[in-house]
Amino acid sequence: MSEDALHEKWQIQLRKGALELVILAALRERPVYGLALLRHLQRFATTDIAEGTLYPLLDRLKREGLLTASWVQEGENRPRKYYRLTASGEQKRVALEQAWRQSVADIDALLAAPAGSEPPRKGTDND
Amino acid sequence: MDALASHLGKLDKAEAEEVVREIESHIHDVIDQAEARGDVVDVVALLAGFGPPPALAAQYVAHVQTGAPPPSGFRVIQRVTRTVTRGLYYSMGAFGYSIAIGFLLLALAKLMYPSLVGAWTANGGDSVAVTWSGSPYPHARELLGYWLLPIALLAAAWCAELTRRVLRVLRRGLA
Repeated sequence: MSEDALHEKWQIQLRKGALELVILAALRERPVYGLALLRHLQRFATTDIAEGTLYPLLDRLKREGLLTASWVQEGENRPRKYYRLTASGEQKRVALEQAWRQSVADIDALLAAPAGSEPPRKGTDND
Repeated sequence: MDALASHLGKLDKAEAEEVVREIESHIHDVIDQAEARGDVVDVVALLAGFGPPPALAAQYVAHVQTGAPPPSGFRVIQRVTRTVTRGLYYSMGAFGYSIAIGFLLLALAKLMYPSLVGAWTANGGDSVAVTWSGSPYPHARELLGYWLLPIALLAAAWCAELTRRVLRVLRRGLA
């Protein structure tokens, strides 16, 4: 497999792991509709996903009780389906965000000290 | 959209329509926003972002096919519908609708034979009987009079509606 393909495969795995977290985080302040959420995620290469990935994922998160959705019509605009976090969704977001930050800190610590060198300190958010 | 809808058969009709409606809404939003900017929309690329309809639909029905955990609160209904047989389905229908028909016949009988059909009480209200052949007790007092007619009709309608809703849930569990 070429280097680009390997890198792409790694990116896909990383994206899979982080997608649920970034979607919950994107909805933490106000309800957002699908296209706006997609544009928000597509600002960054790591979370540049397609419509066919986003909407089924939103449907799954709604079935799991992490999101609710409702159709809202603003003025003369076409009705749009807005998603918002539930209380469970907010709890999940906090938990995932803590886990993510811990993972990043741990990996940063391991990157700073290869195997065989001084054992790395357990990674913390304050490093 | 028709191709997508045809692959969403494992979902409830309402759920499938919701999926199609949301995707249509997205497409309209993209087109509207592009037109507002004076851009031309590449509809082929836009649709390609959703992937082939069978693959897209598969993601929406995966939880049905693999038995993924249902939303909380629905576990009891899932347990019931998983073991529904045709015998149970038709038995529930016969039971429910026969009670509804019984109430309907009671209402009709009250209309036709008002003095014979009624709800009677005796023993100071310690016993109540609904009869089709006149007072069952000496010195019994009829409770409802002609009110028995609308009450029986409402009870018939309520039983029929309740049976219909139960059968609708059970139908999902049939093969």
